[in-house]
Amino acid sequence: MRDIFCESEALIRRVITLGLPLLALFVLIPALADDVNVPPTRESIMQELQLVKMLLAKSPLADRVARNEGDQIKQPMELVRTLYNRANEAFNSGNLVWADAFLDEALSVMEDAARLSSDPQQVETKQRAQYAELLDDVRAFDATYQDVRKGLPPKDAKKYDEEVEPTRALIQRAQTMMRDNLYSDASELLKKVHGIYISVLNELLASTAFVYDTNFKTPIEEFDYELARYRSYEELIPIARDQFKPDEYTLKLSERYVQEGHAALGAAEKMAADGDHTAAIKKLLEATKRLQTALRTIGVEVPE
Amino acid sequence: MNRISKLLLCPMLAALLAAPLFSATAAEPAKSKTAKSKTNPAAAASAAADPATAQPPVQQYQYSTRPAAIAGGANPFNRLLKVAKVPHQAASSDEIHDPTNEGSMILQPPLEAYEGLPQSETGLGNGVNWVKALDDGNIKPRWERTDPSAEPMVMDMNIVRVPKSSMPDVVFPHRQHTLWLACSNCHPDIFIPRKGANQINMAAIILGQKCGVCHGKVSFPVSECKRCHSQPKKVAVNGGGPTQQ
Amino acid sequence: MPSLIRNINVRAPVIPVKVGRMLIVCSLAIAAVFVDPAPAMAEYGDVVINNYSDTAGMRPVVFPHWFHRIRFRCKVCHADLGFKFKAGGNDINMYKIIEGKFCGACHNGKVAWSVKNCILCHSGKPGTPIQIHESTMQELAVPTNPLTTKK
Repeated sequence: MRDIFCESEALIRRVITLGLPLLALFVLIPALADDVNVPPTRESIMQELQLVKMLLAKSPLADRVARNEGDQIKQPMELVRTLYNRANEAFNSGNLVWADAFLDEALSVMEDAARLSSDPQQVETKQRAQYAELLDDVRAFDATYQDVRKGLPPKDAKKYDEEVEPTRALIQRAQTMMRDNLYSDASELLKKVHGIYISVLNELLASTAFVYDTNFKTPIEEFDYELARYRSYEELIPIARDQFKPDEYTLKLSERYVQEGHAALGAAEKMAADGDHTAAIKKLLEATKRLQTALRTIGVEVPE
Repeated sequence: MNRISKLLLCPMLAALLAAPLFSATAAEPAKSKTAKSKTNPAAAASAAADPATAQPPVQQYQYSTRPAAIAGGANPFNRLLKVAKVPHQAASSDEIHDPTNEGSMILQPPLEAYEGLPQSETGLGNGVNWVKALDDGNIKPRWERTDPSAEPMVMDMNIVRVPKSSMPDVVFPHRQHTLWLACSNCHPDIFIPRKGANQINMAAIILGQKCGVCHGKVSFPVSECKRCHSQPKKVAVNGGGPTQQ
Repeated sequence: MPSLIRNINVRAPVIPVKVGRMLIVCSLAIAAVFVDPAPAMAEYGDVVINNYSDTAGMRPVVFPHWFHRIRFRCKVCHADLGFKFKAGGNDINMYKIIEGKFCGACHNGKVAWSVKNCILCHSGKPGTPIQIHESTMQELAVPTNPLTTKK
């Protein structure tokens, strides 16, 4: 009896000593898999097959082959088609690993083809758009700098002017480059200009705060402000309706409030035209309140 | 003693091997923030709360409530602002992942990645204070896609907006935003960089305009009032005038 | 059977302590394999992109902002790669990805996993509309159906 137990004990020990490391390895595999190594399953192969098939049929590359443009993509696309067929055969005969390998290769070939033959027209448009955006940014920075510069003592103004000076030449050069169609180089120059402005503005504005308060010098200013505020709420009404999709009853109700707001706006504008800005502002505030009520009806939380 | 240990071992083994059956249900994360488990004293009030809403006969939307304590005050606006009740739901039970897809189960769970990251006070949104995580060096996201050493061009300049209401002033810090974003992300499409050129109100933010383009979608949601309304109003110095609170 | 029982030395363990301990370790190891550590979770900021997936018979894509935010700043995707701030507003398709645009700028096998791992991105429930998970507008505007109320 004891022998049996002893033997089994020894057996258990042996099993565990051998088994445990294997088990540990099994447990660790998910952690060891750094790049995700998904073993091919039927579903994933099917999805990949579908992808390659779609790309063979519908992609811009396929279109260009169909239109007989671009000889250099014809061959890779042929190769992709062959690989796809092989993958399909392998999948149908149950050989998932081979199907996976063929599909991988097909996708690589297609990726290379797509990247090498990117449409030059598209690239140019993108680069020009990027340049235009950078130019806009740079102009805005310049405007801000000029604004801030007004409040500086002459010595400081001179110092920062010197720092900003090189930007003129750089912008000129960038514009010349654009005429010569050197789009990306021009953009790089503008990025440098960007950097100069940011560092100058950072120095000037570091840890300052612009305070946008609501102190108005004249009633006209306040009226304009309140009008802008009314407009901003007005813009929100269609957005709110689109998001909340209220029922017919709510929609009608909100529309009624909006109309009331319009009416009040009309009255306010008339008062302003007559010169009575204080009353106009009051009326305008009423109009805005109506819009706020309309928004609340639709479902938006509107404080105050 | 030994038979007892053997007897104990068997059910333990059984329980562990049966664990997959429990795991699906057990995957409800234990990390529900304490904030969310606070009782809602305002719960009863909110249903009848909004006096300004006209009363259509059909109550379409159920508004859950946020405990007033989270908002840092008894601001009734925040009580009405609905936020997600159960964050970080497991892929087997959340509304967007397909549990029958193996891929959904392979991906890293966010709570695992958030370990060690500073948490936000209220646990809203992701629950992580991303700016603090960046400043503290817990995360090192790249500024350039292929260049790990590129540094952002940070602009340190605050804009203080004074709201009409009694809420504290809003301090918009460029620094924290330019750590993550380029100027062109916001200017001029979302915000015109000129004083007085942007009308911002809470309704717009909630509807996903202005600040709401990011906040309330991928950045911290606007139910955390204090994070933006962070500067107390300057009290009027004129003697006898009503002090703004 | 009395004879068997009598023969067993009660003091010596039937399973020695060492073996018992190893069994416990084993069971824990087995548990670690089978007990789901935690599957992927839906997170605030996850964007469900379903422009073409449903028609193509694929699950919609779930894009996790949190995972990418840890590795890249907003500017990389939203300024450099041209992603607009609009869920579903970028007209991304598989060809563009293979070309190296949008997601394909990194998901090309070099910076991140390649396009062949369909199920890692296409992990959404079929039919899920384009949305940003747990966004304020989603929370406010989606009417809650009592059957699907979150617990």
